[in-house]
Amino acid sequence: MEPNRIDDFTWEIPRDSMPGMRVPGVVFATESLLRQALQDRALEQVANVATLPGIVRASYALPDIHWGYGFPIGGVAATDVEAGGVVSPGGVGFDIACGVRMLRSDLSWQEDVRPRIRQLVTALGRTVPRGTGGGGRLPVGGRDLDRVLSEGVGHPLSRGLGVEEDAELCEDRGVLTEAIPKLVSLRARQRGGPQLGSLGGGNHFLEVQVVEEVIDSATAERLRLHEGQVCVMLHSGSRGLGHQVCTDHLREVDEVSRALGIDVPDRQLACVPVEHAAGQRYLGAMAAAANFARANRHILAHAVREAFAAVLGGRVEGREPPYGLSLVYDVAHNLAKLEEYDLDGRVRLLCVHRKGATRAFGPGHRELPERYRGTGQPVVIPGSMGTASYVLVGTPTAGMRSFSSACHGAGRAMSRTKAKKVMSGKDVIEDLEGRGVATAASQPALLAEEAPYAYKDVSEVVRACEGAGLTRTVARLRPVGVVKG
Amino acid sequence: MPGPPKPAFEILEHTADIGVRSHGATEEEAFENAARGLLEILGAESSRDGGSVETVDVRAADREALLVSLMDELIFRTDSRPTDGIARIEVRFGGPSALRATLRWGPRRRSPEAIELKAATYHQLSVKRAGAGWVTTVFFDV
Repeated sequence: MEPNRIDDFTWEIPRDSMPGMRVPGVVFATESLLRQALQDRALEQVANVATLPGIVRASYALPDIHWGYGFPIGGVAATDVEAGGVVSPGGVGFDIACGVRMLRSDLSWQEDVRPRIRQLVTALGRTVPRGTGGGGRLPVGGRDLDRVLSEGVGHPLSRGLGVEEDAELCEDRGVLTEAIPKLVSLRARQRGGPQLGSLGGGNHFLEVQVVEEVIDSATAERLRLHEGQVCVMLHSGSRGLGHQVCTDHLREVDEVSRALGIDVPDRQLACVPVEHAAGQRYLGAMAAAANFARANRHILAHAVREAFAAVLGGRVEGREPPYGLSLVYDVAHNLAKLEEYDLDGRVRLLCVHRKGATRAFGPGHRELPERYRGTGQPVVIPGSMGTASYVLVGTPTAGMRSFSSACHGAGRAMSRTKAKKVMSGKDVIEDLEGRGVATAASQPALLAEEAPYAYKDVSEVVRACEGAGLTRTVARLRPVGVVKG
Repeated sequence: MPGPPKPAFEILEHTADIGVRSHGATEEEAFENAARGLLEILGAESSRDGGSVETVDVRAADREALLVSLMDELIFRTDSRPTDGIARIEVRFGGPSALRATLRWGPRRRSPEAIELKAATYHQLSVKRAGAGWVTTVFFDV
């Protein structure tokens, strides 16, 4: 499948590339990133997504695209609800509302944190539950779990964890009010309830970073970022609760979809019309799982503040905990949302699936918090472990170009098995430490799976997003401490 | 001349995730071997089966969905019993869309490379006859 070049950052997979495609595929990438995407089955998956009933404009792929299951990772599809458009649980994935939360601080890397980074990473490793198995910092069940599912970050806030601004600067102000907790199964509750406030394993992580370069100083000022400042990024999702919600509802959607005669080229793309009862049930349960994910990251951020206070308390002249550790933004990259867009001069309600893709509203969008109305929504892009991360903002053109969607990270380039053959986990730790990155890993043997060489070049991914008109780059950060599950 | 014997299961590479292809002289054996592959990835095996015996009944729309449902059952049950592992699993079909799995539990054999899987997927899912035996393919979300 060889896409046609539209411009330096845009490629098209024509609608006649595969039987059943209702719209073309559009890939945002540099030529080199496109070549990488051609090495696995990702572009075939872009074409498969283009067959979904009700899909409009195009099946989009972002520069960090790679082979997923059903949808590609880095895939975006919007369906027209009124025209029978579908929702596909596979277009969200098992880690519902997995996302990134970024905190900024008043701390200087050189003066305040550098002398104590080792102790800080050790403390974060102790304070933040992570890895396989084990419970979270705020295990919940029964009515408390129902409150998390319906209130999102409101529940931990009511328990005295965090501050009101944490909700204000979280996507959807920390809660999707359309959540229906009773649609979350007992099994999902058993699996996830005890894990609330835990990072998880795989590619989930927490990084201490320093702002290395401010590229857009006016926007950076609005985002309260400046060079030399210490920040924290954490990547986690809805843990076992979200995984089970997807499993449960995917099974129902698969059965209903077959009964309705909806034909898809990959069974993981099983889908039903948004307005079908099974679609509504999925969206209600998905929203509840998304609330769980936001509460999870909120609790983890509180743990970060505690670790900073424990290590730096009384040791930073003239300042007190929590050292200005406050949200830049919290945004998911696995979610389906109902959003309005202008299609051929008419405002349409669309179900926008973002699988490994970040929402990126441009300036003036009514859903943005007041602080970011003028700048556009912050888009937080973690790089691969040990390389740069970026803060971007959505542009006025992103709505037209990609249904306000941007990349979500560097994007994997190498399988886990191959990555482990290149270096051992121990060697990866030595390499990171040699580059000045203090590291804490609960399973060192697995660290090689997430080594920087297993990922694409995040700087090129970000350049492609900007080149395609989806985002504007605000600042680049480099890691100084990594805590892995 | 028959070819070399097929391995019970093999781990399949995927850019972000992981898969298992299993072989068996019978369809039931192919399902059992897929389960063995999954348990190896999860690090949820046991060397001794002196613990409890559990039977699990699984229903699904068809054979392929039955394989996904069995894998999801094992992910859930091993997640719920973090210190126990499965020493043996026996699968018996009860018609085209139901099976009973017998799990023999024992102390978990710790693996430094155990990974947490979110779920089994329907991506490239297959249960097929291959020559005189059966082969299954299933991918998991890491």
